Amino acid sequence: MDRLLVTVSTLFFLIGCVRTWQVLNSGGDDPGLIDYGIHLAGFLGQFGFLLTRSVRTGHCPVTNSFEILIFVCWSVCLFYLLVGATYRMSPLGLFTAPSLFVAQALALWLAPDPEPIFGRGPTLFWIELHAALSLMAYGAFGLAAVASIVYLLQDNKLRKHQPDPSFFQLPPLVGLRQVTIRLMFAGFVALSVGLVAGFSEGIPATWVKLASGIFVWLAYALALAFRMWRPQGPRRGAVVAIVAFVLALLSLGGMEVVKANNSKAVIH
Amino acid sequence: MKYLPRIEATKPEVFCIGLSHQTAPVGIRERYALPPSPELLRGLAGLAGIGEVVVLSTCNRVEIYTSGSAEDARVSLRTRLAECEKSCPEDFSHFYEFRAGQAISHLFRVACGMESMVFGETEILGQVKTSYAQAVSAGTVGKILNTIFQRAFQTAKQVRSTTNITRGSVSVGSVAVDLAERIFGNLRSCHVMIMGAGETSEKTARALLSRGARGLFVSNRSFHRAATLAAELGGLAIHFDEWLTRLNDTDIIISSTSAPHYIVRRGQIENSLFLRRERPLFLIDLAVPRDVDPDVDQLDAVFRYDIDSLEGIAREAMNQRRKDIHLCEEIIAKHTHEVLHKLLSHVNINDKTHALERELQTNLSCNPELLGESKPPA
Repeated sequence: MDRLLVTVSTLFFLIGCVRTWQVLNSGGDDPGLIDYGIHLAGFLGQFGFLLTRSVRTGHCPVTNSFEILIFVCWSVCLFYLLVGATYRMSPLGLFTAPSLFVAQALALWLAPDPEPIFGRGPTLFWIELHAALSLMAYGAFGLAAVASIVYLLQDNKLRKHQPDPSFFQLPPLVGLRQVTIRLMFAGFVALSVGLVAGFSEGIPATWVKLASGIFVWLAYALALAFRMWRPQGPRRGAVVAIVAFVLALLSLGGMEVVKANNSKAVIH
Repeated sequence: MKYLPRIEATKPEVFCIGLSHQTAPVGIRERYALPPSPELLRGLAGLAGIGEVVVLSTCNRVEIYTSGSAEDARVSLRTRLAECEKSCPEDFSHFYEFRAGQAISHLFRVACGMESMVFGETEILGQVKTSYAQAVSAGTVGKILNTIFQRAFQTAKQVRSTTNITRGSVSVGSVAVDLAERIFGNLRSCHVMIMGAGETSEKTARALLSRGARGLFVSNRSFHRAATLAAELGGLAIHFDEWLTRLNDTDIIISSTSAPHYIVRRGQIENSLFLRRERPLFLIDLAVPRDVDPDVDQLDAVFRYDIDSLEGIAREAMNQRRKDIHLCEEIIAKHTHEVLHKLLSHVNINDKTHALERELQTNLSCNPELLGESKPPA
């Protein structure tokens, strides 16, 4: 039943994909309220799922790959809704909607989602906080990567000297750069607090988890430090934001694979 | 006493007389520039054959729209126009006249910017609205012109929102401003530098300042000319060899010197990049031969546009606008047909000689697509 909410949310992002296709092809209506509304509807579906799952399991809903993917998508959507309204970045929705649609469709189709059991294992506050904040950081990093993709597209169109109608509907370069840095910084703070929370419970982490956590933290720490003190140019900065997010996703996927293998070994 | 239009007393035929940039040079247009004061409007409305009147007077056109008896209005208005200062009989060959459906259709085309000097420009709609409001406050608008003008505003709105005829910039200055806004977003924190005080660079700088750019440096080989232009635009004049020292404070450079070689070179810009801390630099090179080394295109956050690329974008925008002409014509034809029907329902339908009905019949027989019958492609 709760998966139905994710399906509905995914359908809203599918509508967003159609809008993206329309606007980028014909330079149709100005992106804005419609995209924002589509994301809000999708966000409510995700939130409904996460809330229901949380009530059913008694834990932060990040207990399997499906829940983790939806949590990250929810987090991307949350940051989009905040950034879109605050920095007039709602046209970013033209790119977040397809990304969220693909991620959620893959989650519905492929990600394992065993029947949730209430109260499996004790509820450990710091571990739950660690999981939630770390995945919210991934959401911020994800949106930063989307903003960087839009930056590179806009930069490329400007350099070709042939901007198409969609060029004039996407956010300005300076705004995209600022939003990328702010999102990376917000994600970095959330990840740092999340890592500290993870250590606070006193439960030893597996080496894979520890290594990937520190790896992602270091990658973003270096990217931000260079951007602040030794700027290499916004184009290179955008590429770094995209590569860093891909690496973060790979490390998250790696952790899940190792966790799944360990579970199988325990069962056998 | 408030003037009351004599709508009921006359036949509701719509008539338009006017002249525009398409039919008359400015020397003739200025003779007939009628400031639509309440006195003028009421005076016109008092002429024989005129029940309602609206005067549209802009720098590119003077048009008088009336309802009443078209033939009587024609005679009265030509007599009145002949009374204008410096008027001469030859001028009337520059005037155009439209009746009923043609007059309505013409107004719709004007409101949509299809008759403007810059095809698709939107300022004209505001001017039509102002003219209408002036006539309303003078009390010279009744049911017929009200119906027609309100529909003109609707038509223009529909044309704007469903076609591309107002999209894109069609002049070098406005293209440069649009590009600057796509780079910097808000121009309020941007500083502009003019290198070489040419006419196009001055216009472009004015356009950027009007959109909020907050500072201006003017650099010219003749410091006197730089100082004059800077004073005029509220900027700061600097000596020509000082421009590089101001580069870090500048976001947009408009260059139009007559130098036979590059003034802005890649090395000069490259050296400033670290201090700019990822702040973009927009170089608008209006000079021929070019002032900015095209090699700067390789630098991150540096965007160079020369006159050809700016004109290319403006031309492309104009082509896009013109591609949608047939869509605009369809919308206008539909609205004209509907207004004619609506007006016809207000008059005595037994009066078979009524001009509006005749016009409607003519329109329908000439344009079967108005009845939904498809026309074979040309």
